[in-house]
Amino acid sequence: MTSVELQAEESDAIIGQAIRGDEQALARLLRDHYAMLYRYLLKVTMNKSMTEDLVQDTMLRAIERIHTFQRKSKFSTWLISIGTRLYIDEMRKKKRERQWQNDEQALQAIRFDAAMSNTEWHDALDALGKLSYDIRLPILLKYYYGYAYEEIAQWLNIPIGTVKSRLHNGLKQLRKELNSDEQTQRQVYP
Amino acid sequence: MSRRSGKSILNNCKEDRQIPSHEQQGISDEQEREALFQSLAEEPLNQWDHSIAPDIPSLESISQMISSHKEVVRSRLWRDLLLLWGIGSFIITGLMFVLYSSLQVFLFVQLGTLGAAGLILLRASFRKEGRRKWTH
Repeated sequence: MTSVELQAEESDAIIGQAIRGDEQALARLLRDHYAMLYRYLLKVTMNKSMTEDLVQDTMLRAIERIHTFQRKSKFSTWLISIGTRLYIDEMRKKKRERQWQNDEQALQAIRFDAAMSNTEWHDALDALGKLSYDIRLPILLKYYYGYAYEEIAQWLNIPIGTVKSRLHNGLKQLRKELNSDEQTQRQVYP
Repeated sequence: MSRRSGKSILNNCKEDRQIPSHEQQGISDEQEREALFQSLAEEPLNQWDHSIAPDIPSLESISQMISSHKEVVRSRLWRDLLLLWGIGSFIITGLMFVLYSSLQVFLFVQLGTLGAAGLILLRASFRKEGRRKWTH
């Protein structure tokens, strides 16, 4: 048996224990998936404090619902589906929407963190940040995480056709945004 | 996850490609969009993704969070249950009072409640959209 198979078997056993109510196993699972969930939500929200809140809420929801996890998908996919739905709910609540309207400030904070870790901040990330959440979300889920249209449609609670049109329009918008950034740069630094 | 699943389907179709069908057209559009995303944003996203280093909480603090949250859920459940029993006993007392006062009014209330429940059930069965499952 290879180490990968052993790991998979071990993680399968931990998931089984967590479903049966073992708190230690659930704690281990949540800790092991914490970074993945945080990275996903940060990319989707482009807002650090919102990400922290959502990670916490996702974990609480997972604690409440772990007994309903049927292992039809990976545990990470299950967490992503919970996080995605919570994010959509947050954005749909008008009050919260107003609270998170300070998008540019949030993006600046992320840029600052990237600079602190010596990571180059590309225009593409700014362009993604400028897209509205209901377009950025399917783009990331489909093209970065590789989920199927059906899954995305189910999580976003919209028809598959709408997912496809949002992807099409979103990519067009992204390209336009990057082209206009390039043109501006050329005008400033000819 | 079904990443890049379109590619294998497209390879199988390569031999008879003279007249592209709607399905083939759809797959090539999808591939085109995927390639566009890769060229525009995949690498910057990868770089950013690798640089994100969240403060992962310790196993003890997560365990504590699980225990305290389960306790909160349990007490919330008891509160809801007590509320339900309270409302239930209030309704039953009221109905007993109506039954002893007038049988006709009692029957009218019963039929009205049944009718309303039927209507709500009927409406709920039509409203399938928006129902969410957490059982993956």
